[in-house]
Amino acid sequence: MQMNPPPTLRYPALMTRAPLILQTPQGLYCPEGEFHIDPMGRVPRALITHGHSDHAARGMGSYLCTHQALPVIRHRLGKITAEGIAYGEQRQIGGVTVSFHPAGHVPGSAQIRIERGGEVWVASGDYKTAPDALCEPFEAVRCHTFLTETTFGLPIFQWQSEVCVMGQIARWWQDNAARGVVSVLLAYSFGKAQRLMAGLAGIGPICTHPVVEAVTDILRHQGYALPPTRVANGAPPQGALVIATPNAMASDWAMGLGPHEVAAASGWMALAARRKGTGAAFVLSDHADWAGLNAAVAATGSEQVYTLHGYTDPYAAWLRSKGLSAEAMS
Amino acid sequence: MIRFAQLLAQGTPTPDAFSAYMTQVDPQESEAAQRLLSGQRPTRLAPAATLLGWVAQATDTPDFLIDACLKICPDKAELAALLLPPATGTTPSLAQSLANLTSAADYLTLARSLPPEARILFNRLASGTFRAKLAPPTTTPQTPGHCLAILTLIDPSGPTATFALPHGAALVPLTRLRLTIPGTPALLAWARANVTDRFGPLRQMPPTQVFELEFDGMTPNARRKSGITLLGARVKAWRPDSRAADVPTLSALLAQSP
Ligand SMILES: [Zn+2]
Ligand SMILES: [Zn+2]
Repeated sequence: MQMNPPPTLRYPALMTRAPLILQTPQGLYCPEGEFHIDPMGRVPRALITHGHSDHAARGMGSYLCTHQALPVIRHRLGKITAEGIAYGEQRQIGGVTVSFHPAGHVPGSAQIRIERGGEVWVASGDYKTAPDALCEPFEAVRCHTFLTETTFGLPIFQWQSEVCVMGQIARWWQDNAARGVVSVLLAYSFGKAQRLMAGLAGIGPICTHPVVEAVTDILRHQGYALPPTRVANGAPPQGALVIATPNAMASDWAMGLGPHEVAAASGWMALAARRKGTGAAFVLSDHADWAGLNAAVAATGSEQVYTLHGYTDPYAAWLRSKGLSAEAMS
Repeated sequence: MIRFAQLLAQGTPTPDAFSAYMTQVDPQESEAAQRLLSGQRPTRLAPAATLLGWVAQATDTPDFLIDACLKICPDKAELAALLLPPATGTTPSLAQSLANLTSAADYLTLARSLPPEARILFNRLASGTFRAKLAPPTTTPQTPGHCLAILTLIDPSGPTATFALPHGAALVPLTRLRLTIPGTPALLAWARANVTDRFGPLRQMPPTQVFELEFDGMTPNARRKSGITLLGARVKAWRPDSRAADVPTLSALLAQSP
């Protein structure tokens, strides 16, 4: 895990100064920089951590995100005023210095670092500490205050290694292929779908739903290492793997697949209740698991943690029980 | 244990899924699975709440986190399975898992070595809440039968004996069974006096003694030389009246299976 040079950790007047990031009805807001982070309500200036729809919404005056995140965000949001920034590049915005650092969640995803006179806050966005075959690996950023996501912030969420899960999926695919049945893997069209392709490259033909193919094509042109894929129109070739969104399976498109088995790949598949009704289930998440969250918080060296998304209260209580100052950001 | 967990992943297995499973696992595993699915349960080690308590303590998980977890995972057997970190090392078999389970320490060692789906199943077995059961016709898909077999090896510590059937010029091992018949002491005395070779705990003797075996069914098993596993097999009687040369061949036995 790479680390940025640590800031001076005991900032003397830390507690008395105004917070660098606040929660507002539109989303996270930095008053001194006059910008929002991943806003959902219309605002003049938005810094975007990544292209998922719960982070990048239409209607902002301007957008700033990493160069790597920008093409998919443009594809999804249409005509927007947007600018890219390199990972690690520092930019002065109002009274603060801002930089973006890899979050390991999806291609181009970033944590946003905000500094004012030696005081550092980091908003994590969504992140995953374990590496995968596709996206820029997570980098811990030293800070005084860390805003961490807690989508899977309970100790029941402990992921097996990437290699192990891809092996399980490959075996399921090969078993189906041996029986002459097509394998359909359900995944988000951006991020998870391409991570699966990258992790399963070289085993057999990979086909896609058109929505998945569009995003895949953009990422491939950006230079991400992705295996060849083609859109499944009608029956896919013998023994193929088809990557589709859950919605696609409810459409007419799914009628053309012929005999097939369906599997879901998500962190939620860790729970038996969520596995009911899916054919096969693989526990594969783009978010940090319990150990990943704890490692990330420790690596920031932060004194103060705010939790966002998912199990915010229990995770904040856990950090407090370990002696940190932590609370759910509301 | 992983295969047994996969077999039960979608609820009670279909007869087809069960036969496929039986061909993939070794005889000890298939016998253990057969017993469980026919309704014979292992003795309960502890209730699920106790297993969860052991896991919480072993992982240093505070009560407030257990309570938060129970909100989305109210099944204590599942929660105890999920709280342990991902498995490391080799996975014990179903038979091994059940044979070595008498204390909290045994439980934690075994549970840690199992992947999550097998752990949930293991927790149900350990807490006496395992419910899957095959309907009786499915547990014995083949007709019960009996056969003559030739004694080839004895392990006096069991005591267990290996029985074999003629196949061409060779004898092919068919099954290994515990000796519980009334004539066992006399048989062991004969065996001691007639040892021709030793392989670890096993004693070889001349293939002259014939036994009658009974079984509930047979299932194909590609991993065995004989190509089959006998289900629910036991030794019925020692047959000093029969000669080894008169024992029907393996092919004759296979012809009995539907
Ligand atoms: Zn996301
Ligand atoms: Zn998100």
